[in-house]
Amino acid sequence: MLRVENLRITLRGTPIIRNLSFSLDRGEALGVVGESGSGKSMTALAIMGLLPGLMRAEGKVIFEGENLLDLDDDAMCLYRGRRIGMIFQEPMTALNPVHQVGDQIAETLVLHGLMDRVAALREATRLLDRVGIEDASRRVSSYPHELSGGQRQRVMIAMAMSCKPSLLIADEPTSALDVTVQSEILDLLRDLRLQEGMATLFISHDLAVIARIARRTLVLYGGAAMETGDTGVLLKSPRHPYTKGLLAALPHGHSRGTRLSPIPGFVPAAKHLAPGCPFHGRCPRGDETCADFPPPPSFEATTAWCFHPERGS
Amino acid sequence: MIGRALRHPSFVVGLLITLLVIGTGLLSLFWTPYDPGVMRIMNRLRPPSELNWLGTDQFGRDVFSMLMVGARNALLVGIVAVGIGVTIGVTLGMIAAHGEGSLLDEAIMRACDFTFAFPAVLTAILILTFLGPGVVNAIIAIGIFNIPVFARVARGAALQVMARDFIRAARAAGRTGFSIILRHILPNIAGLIIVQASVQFALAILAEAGLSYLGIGTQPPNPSWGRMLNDAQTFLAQAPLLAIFPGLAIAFSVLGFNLLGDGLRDLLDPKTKER
Ligand SMILES: Nc1ncnc2c1ncn2[C@@H]1O[C@H](COP(=O)(O)OP(=O)(O)O)[C@@H](O)[C@H]1O
Ligand SMILES: [Mg+2]
Repeated sequence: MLRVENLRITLRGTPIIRNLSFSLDRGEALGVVGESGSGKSMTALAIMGLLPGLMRAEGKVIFEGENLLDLDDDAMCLYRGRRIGMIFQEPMTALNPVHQVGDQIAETLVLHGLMDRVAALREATRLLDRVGIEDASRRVSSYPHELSGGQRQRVMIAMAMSCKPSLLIADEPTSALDVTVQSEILDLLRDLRLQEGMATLFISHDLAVIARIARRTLVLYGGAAMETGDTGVLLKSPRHPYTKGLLAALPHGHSRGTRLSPIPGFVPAAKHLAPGCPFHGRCPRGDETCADFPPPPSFEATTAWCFHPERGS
Repeated sequence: MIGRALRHPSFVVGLLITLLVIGTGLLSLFWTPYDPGVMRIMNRLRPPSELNWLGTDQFGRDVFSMLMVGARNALLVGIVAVGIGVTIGVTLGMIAAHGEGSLLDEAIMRACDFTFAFPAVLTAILILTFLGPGVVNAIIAIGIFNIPVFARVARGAALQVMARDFIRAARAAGRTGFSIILRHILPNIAGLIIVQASVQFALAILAEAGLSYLGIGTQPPNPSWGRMLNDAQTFLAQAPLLAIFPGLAIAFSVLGFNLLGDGLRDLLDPKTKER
């Protein structure tokens, strides 16, 4: 349903995303994980055709048979909000403070010509109820500042799914929420995917969150794919040193008292990246080859783009 | 919000003064103690009394009645001149913000800088020498100087709003271009525009008084506070109150609109707004 092929994003010639390919089936959830600055958000925005002004995307984003990168803004509007919904990290700021939440949900339905305003407001109430907001008929006329962070994220989800899109892109939808609320939102997103059949591209910097929601995972670093495969396999026996590093930085699976080991160093700026593997500077196994040549994919239990992958078990 | 507003001293004082000026102007449409145009030479230069509350001028006209009608004149100039500035200025500001960095944006902003580079009063005098004196032309001249003020404020505020997440969310929901401006940006910058408008309103009243004082604004027999000041000059030694009353009227209303603007600025500032 969604096939991204050789996606390259550049900012004044500096690569932000290099040759990224992945695909998503109808009703499937794919997790995209990587540290902050890896290019997750830009990948999502490229699919929506909403990259910041000076960034350019090349390659293909095939969605339901159409290459979205070929479409102009007007044509993209038939996809944005209608066939592809998107939710963002900051539920505090992603809603317009001056409009009632019901109005903002109804707006999308009216905009795409699915309903008139009255019917759309009624549908907004139903959607609020659907995403688990109590007392929806009253809440529909609340302003965003009257809601908690979790409730606002539910409103965002209601907005994004109002036109029943076949793809939902969720960019760090739970990262700004506290743990219990985070867990509720993840359950809601899973329910919605299973019941409404929306495919979900779920972006997070947190492998633990991805593990709860996506059967398949793509690990992204420095704008390039590091490893992809079944989430369970990836967690149990990661083959790319970067995936291993991400796992070691998780509180999961460590016995009490052992220290978490974050990956040493930090994400280099896009313009300082060598032509080879973006991770080689921080990689315990990196050598000269890694610096100079992009690693080919090696296929085993998972697919890893690495010259020196761990052997799959 | 209303409770907070009522506890804000400069907002309350400003609002009361503003309402008083507006009320006086409206009342003058139906009632004044005397017809402000009728001259009674016999009664010239009378001091304040029970008959003429604020006295009479050199033609025997009732000063209080003239001040009332003058308020109406000042309000009319303020409303139309600021109205011109808001509509054209905000439109230009939105167009500039929408195409940030484009040639059009550059052109609009340079044109604003250009207008700012001239001293407003001198240029207004220049415009009025071209168009001829009169209140309508004075309004146009003052209005023109309001345009770049609102264009800049609107552009700056719009760019700030555009950087916020809900604009990206609106795009992701399928909105584009000007519908984003109308639905998502304008309502969020309306507060700032209103604050600016009340400040500009005070300036417009002052400008009209100045131009009329110079004799190129409101023309007789229409009463204007600025004209009254001018007329009073000749009799400053005999009847100083003749200059003091219109002077006070100008100062009072300018103060009122400025206080109102300050109060609104505080009340509408998102940083001080309660969640
Ligand atoms: N508006 C922008 N203008 C220029 N560069 C940007 C912008 N937003 C992000 N970037 C750069 O693009 C790269 C990828 O960022 P992003 O996709 O936001 O990462 P992630 O979502 O994985 O944290 C980073 O190097 C970042 O510095
Ligand atoms: Mg991001």
